Amino acid sequence: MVDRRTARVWEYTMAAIVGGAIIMLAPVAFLGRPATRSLIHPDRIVIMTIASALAMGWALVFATLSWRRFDEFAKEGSKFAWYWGGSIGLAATAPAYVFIGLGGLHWLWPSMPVGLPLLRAFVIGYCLPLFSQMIGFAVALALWRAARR
Amino acid sequence: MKNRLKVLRAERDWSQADLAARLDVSRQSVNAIETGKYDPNLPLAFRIARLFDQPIEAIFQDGRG
Repeated sequence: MVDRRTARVWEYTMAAIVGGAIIMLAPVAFLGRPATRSLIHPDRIVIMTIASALAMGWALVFATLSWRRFDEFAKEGSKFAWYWGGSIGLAATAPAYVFIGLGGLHWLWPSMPVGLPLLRAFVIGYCLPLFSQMIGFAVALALWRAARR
Repeated sequence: MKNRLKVLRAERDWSQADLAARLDVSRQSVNAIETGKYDPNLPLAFRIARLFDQPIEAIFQDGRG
């Protein structure tokens, strides 16, 4: 049987995921299909970016509530999993990054497009979460140490 | 680290869920502590000691004599 504390954590987690997904996808339902065939729609870019930021804010609120409901055992487990699981998972992407970056997918499936713009997009897509995570880690660690001086 | 949590709990005829509710932790926490797979932090160790009305060192032993 699930205790009340664990049940509340699951409720917050579900609220974060479902609520975040609704906020993120709601503009798609309202905006419908783009009026023109152009790839760039400034209004769509702005609205969807704001919706994404709001969705992440929503998820962060419930992640915080969930963390506060964790007992020490659950917190230790989460910290261990994020540090080691996250680090090993990240490290495991390095060979995939090199393989794809050097055109490995095109080599396996010649019908796959290849070229400098695609390579740049891939590098940006890979590096954005990687650097964000590293910066976030460094900031969180600095704040943690500063709070304990 | 060894502990007498399981014995103390059994003496009171409490289930792991009962003890978890009294300590405001999850049942998994109680199980992990009882089996020696997780050492509680100091605040929780003090809560356990208060609940059983015993000093911490009477419940937890570090196994170094």
